[in-house]
Amino acid sequence: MRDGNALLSVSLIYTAFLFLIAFWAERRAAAGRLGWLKSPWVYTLSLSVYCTGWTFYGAVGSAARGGLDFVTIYLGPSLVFFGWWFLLRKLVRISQTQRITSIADLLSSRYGKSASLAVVVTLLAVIGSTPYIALQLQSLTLSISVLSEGNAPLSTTLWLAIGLALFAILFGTRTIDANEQHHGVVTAIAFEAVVKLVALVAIGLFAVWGLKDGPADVFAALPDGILSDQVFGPRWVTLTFLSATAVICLPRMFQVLVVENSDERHLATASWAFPAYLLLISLFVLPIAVVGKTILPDGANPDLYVLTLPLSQGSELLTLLAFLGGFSASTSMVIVSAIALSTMISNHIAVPVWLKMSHGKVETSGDVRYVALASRRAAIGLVLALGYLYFLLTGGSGALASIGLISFAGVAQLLPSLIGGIYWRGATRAGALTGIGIGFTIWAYTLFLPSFEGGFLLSARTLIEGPFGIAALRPEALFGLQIDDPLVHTVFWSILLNAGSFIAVSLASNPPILERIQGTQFVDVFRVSEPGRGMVVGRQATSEDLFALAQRILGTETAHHLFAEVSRSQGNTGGLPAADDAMIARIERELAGSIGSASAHAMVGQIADGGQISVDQLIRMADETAQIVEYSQRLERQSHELEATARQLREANDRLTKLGAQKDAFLSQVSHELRTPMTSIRSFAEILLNDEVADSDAHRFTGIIHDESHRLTRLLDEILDLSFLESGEVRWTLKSCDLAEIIAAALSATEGQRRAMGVALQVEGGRQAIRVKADFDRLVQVLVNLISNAVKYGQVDDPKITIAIVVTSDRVHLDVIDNGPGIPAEDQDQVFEKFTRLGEKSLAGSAGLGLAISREIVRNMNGTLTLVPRPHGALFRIDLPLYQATDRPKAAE
Amino acid sequence: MNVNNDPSIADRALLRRRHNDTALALPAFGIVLLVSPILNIFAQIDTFFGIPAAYLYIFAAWALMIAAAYRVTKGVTGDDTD
Repeated sequence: MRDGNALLSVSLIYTAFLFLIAFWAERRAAAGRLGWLKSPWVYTLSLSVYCTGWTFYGAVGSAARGGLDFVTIYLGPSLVFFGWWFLLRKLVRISQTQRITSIADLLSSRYGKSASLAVVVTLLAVIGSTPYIALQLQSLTLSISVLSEGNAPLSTTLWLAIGLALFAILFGTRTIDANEQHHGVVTAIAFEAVVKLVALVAIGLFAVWGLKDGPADVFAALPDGILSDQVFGPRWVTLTFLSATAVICLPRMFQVLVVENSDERHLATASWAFPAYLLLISLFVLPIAVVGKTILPDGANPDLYVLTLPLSQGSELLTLLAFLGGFSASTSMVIVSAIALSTMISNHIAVPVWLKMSHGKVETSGDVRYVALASRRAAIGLVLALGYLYFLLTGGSGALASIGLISFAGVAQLLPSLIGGIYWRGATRAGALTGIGIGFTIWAYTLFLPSFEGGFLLSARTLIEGPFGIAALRPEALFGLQIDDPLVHTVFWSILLNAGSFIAVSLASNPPILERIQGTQFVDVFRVSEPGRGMVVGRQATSEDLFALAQRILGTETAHHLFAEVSRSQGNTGGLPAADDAMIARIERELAGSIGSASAHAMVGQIADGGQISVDQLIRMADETAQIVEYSQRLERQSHELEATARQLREANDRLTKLGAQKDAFLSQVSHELRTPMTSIRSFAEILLNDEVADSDAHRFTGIIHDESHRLTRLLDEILDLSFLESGEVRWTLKSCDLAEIIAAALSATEGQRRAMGVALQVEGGRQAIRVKADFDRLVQVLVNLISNAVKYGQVDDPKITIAIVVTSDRVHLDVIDNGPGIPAEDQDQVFEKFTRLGEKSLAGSAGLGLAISREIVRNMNGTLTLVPRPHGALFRIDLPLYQATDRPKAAE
Repeated sequence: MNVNNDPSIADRALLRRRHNDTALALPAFGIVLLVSPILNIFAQIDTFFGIPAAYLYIFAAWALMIAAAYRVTKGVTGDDTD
């Protein structure tokens, strides 16, 4: 016993709770924190909007009246979902790539973006959905009236309709989402799905184990008429077919299944999870029906057993749960349907009309949004008004299931054009319009209008005798074909003529370009679209063929690497990459590198477009091409080699030319140097020969001649020495030499010179024995050269030479430092060059080659001779390797 | 990537294709089980352990198909860890 007000408040509280859920979900979505809102489970549960008041109440009624037929309503969708890889996946993929917002949008877009087709489909959807909405109103009204023991006011249904309209407007039209996705609604109906399931299962358990003693007891005394010998028959097939069609074509199902789908992979989960849901929710229908029939009085409406069973037993909580379950089931259907239908009406009728009327004077997109939203709200009101009207006109007394089936048969008229559209490129708009038109007409004439039982358009007499008395056109027996079941009759004729005319007209008509393009886009969507968010799909044949071709042309390993890389870049963890445009283009480019772009394009094109040449032939072509390519590559390699050789010859030529130039310069300088002393010798010799010279002078001149000859000889020796050193043919044996001995030898050689110039010398460092790896005599020669230079150029008042020895880990520095004027910065680079003399000081006997020779000598001993810059004086540093114990005397290179 | 150790790309593609074929066979099988005269065989048997045979058969076959769908789905969406 329920008081009307208590019922009302419970309903309102529940509704408010749903609204909160929806609101919360929308907020999360707007903040981008979609998280589990996008989980496959929410998606799967939202699909349960398929189960409406018809499932909750009407199924039990149907079972009580006629056995197992009710199961077909759930088997059809299950089969469709088992085959999801086929149809549903293609639908979802198409809709995502083409940004489809409704089933009218899908058909319109496919058939050349036809506005007229969109309008037709929208009208059909609205009219077809009207009985269904009326059904929900009826089930709600019935449940309320049962609970308030018949004291519900007559206007209940009207108030329900208004309430639902407001609810739908609040839920679904606050904003317009670009994808037409309504996260709030989806979440709310996912929640309601759980409530429905729990409620029905609870009542089922109650009936089987609460009111009876288990399943065997339930079926112990089967009432008549529930089970028959024949389950499978035309009606079974028809019902299964209709329900399978409905799960796609119903506007609300298309909305949650396709439009609200955010990830193709969710389909994979739904493919088994949704049928599982359907199985669970329908499992207890038959037991409840049987129990109800046995326990409840004969006149009770079987549609309401779910409610009246717990009510009759006085379990208030269960009754309330049942009521809420039924409430959920009905309200979710109405809201989602209303939203889907209003979207279609606004997008395909209201906004286009408005745009046309304002003749393109649209100022801002804000105007369009406003019109869209306003028209949607109006449309929701309209849809509910129509549902209410149907309810009134049909008296609200028919069996719920049979009303629902009228809707199913109506929306099924969209199926031929839909299936044809996504699988047959030859389907045309003309065909679709014809098919849908004929199908719709037959449906309306044979099923929809007769449901008014003479109250609307078709009079009762027409129903019995046919229009104008033509018996052959009797609505319920077209062309004299007597099919007892009106549903089967309608479905047979409407689908037959629908599909037939669709095919015939499509074959006969020539579609315009846009339609053909759209046709290709839709039918070949898997070939031309990306695998969308993680799904590894592809025209396997194309990928495999390309792989085989690439192996032939690029070689197995290269091809394997390439394809693996492309696969990785597509986000696949393994296997062949999907054959999308980017991949095909990439493979073509790689192949072009080997066989030229024209051939690559031809070959790849044949594979990707499914050409006339078979893959085997292509591979044979590829083999021949590979041979040609190899030969030409060999030729190319040879020409490369020739080119390299020519280049080397040129370089050698350059080097020789440079060396020749150097040699010329050297020779000219040398001859200049030689000429100077020669001139002196000749002039003095001439004087001695030709002139009268005093004895003392003669003696002096002879001395000069003697000295100059020495100088000449020394110069020639030095030149020879230097050229020998520079030629790289030096073959010294570098031995271990004691540094102290070398210094001592150098000091004794220069003693005379030093004493003559009054130069002091000091040796620093080198307390212990130091052994260097060097040639003894040559190193002495270098040291003598450095000391001589220091004496010659270090002329100051108190000349002093320091020899400093510094030892590092594996080398030794031998520094010769003088305190003379030093070498000016600008001359420091020139110091080691041949024939350089700084200034003209006391240079008798010097040819300017000394330092050059010294540097070469030290270089040949794997050391360096450098001038270390200092503020005053000059520091020449010899850097030599220490003699290591592991060294053995080896020839210098 | 070692060409010798990994299952070749072509092999994986074959596996994928076989999974696809199974996925297509599934609904066909379902139709044969649930939308065919086989049902009438069970309709004629009255009850089975007290429960109507047809009812039992339909729901059992349905549950079987769901389990098969679950298995096939795992293969088809390419859990490459399989």
